[in-house]
Amino acid sequence: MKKRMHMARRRMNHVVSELNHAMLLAGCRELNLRLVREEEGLRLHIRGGFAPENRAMVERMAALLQPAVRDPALVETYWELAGEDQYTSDSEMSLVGQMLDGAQVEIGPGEVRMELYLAF
Amino acid sequence: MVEETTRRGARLENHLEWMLLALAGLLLLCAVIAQPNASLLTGLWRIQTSEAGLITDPMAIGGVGAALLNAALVLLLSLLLIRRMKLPITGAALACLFLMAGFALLGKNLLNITPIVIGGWLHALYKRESFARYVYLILYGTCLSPMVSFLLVRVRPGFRWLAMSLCGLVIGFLLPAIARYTTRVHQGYNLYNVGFAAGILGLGLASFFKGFGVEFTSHDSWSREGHLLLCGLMTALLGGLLAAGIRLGCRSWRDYRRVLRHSGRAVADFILLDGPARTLVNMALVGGVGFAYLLALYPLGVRLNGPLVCCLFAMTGFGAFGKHPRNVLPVMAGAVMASLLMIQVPITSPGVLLATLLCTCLAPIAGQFGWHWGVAAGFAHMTIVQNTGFLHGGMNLYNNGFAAGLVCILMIPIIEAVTPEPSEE
Repeated sequence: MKKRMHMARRRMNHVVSELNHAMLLAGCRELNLRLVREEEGLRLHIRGGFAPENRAMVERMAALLQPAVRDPALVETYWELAGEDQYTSDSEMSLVGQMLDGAQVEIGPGEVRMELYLAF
Repeated sequence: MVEETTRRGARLENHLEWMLLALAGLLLLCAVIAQPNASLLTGLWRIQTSEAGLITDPMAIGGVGAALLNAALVLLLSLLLIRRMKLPITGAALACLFLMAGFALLGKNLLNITPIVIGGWLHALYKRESFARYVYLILYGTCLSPMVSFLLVRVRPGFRWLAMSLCGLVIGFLLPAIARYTTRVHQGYNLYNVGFAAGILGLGLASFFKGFGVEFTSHDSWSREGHLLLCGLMTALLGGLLAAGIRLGCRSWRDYRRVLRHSGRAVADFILLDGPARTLVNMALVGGVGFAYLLALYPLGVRLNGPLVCCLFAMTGFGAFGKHPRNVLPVMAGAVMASLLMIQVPITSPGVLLATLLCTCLAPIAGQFGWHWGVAAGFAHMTIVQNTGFLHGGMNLYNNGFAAGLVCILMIPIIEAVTPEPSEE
């Protein structure tokens, strides 16, 4: 299969948009994003705080970003819905998890670190 | 908790596959019970080579058994395709497979879906992408298969196979691009997205053919045979789903109610979000809502047949992908209110029955914005769907998905304009 840099770039924009929504809703005051273009894909590093009362929300987000199974046919149909509107929800975060090719999420006290990978 | 659920979901994938095979077995068993003789096969061939536009009941064409055999074969072929592509059995897959089996009782058959699937494969080849990415889009896209059947039946001998093959290839090739685009238009509030895309493509193709003197028309058929057997089939299916869900761990209201918190807006894949146990129970309950509604209309003369079982399969399947009793009931209530108030649409007429059950593709509106908007969406759907079928000549089996897309375009901007923005700190 040919490299699909253009598509990966567009998809990553949606991922960033959805995570911005979600982190700000979780009470984040400062969000650090670092996007690295690698040989085979895009890698997004995110670090941000969250309000203690929203820990369960962040844990849920972490789980949805690291699903046990990924369904490429589901992504092909719906990926453009991610990050598109004001109503962020479990289902949109689940879609982001499905869109990614790899994810590592670490939750510390009041801070979450993510490393998300999207292949070309 | 969620990690545990999703891991468990992966482990239980094989069980879901066996469940789908059991469904195919159930359909085959009922087929043999209904027509235990050679008419089963002759009826199956008659279904393959007949017109299939809205509203055509294959049970009236080939017999109850032949229609069920057709449904089993379409389900098995679709399942084979999904497994060959190594796709997991998610809520999206369950919804797709139930819809394929269901709509094989309302127009899809092995012969008319094949060219469309090949057209989809050509699309993937052209895009130099894996066909696996397009499988759901293509399988849903077979809702335009009546066009293929129409050309097979109406074009003069010598050209008919060529005409039907070309038409199917064009549909399969074009539909994925349109379907991805329409998702953005309705923002995930129409669960039958491909129906909306197919309606638009069907409108274009029907207009094109009309320009060359070919006008799509279909002869309605509506079977009233096999009610008891089909009741048995639905009871076994819904009972089986409920029992499987309970056995897998959804044993109380507390276990189940997590499903009800979702709006249902795409992508609400309940297998991925809440695990298979809750999903199977939800599928049984959503299908049960539709089944109970039809049984309640029994005194008014409503009997189960191919198209109505198709609707029940569609509701049950989407119980894994966005629908739950809390978001489908307001929409159905709105549709029933519309049919009771409007002079032109008696509540027991075939089109109205289908619309009442299939308008539940707008369930996410009720889930996201509240039951009152759900009622309004159902009401609007019932009025609009009466005027969309002729646009594509009845060739789009997901006409309700087409109408629902139009309802979304009409309602979502209005709802968002009048609804206060969510309060955030």
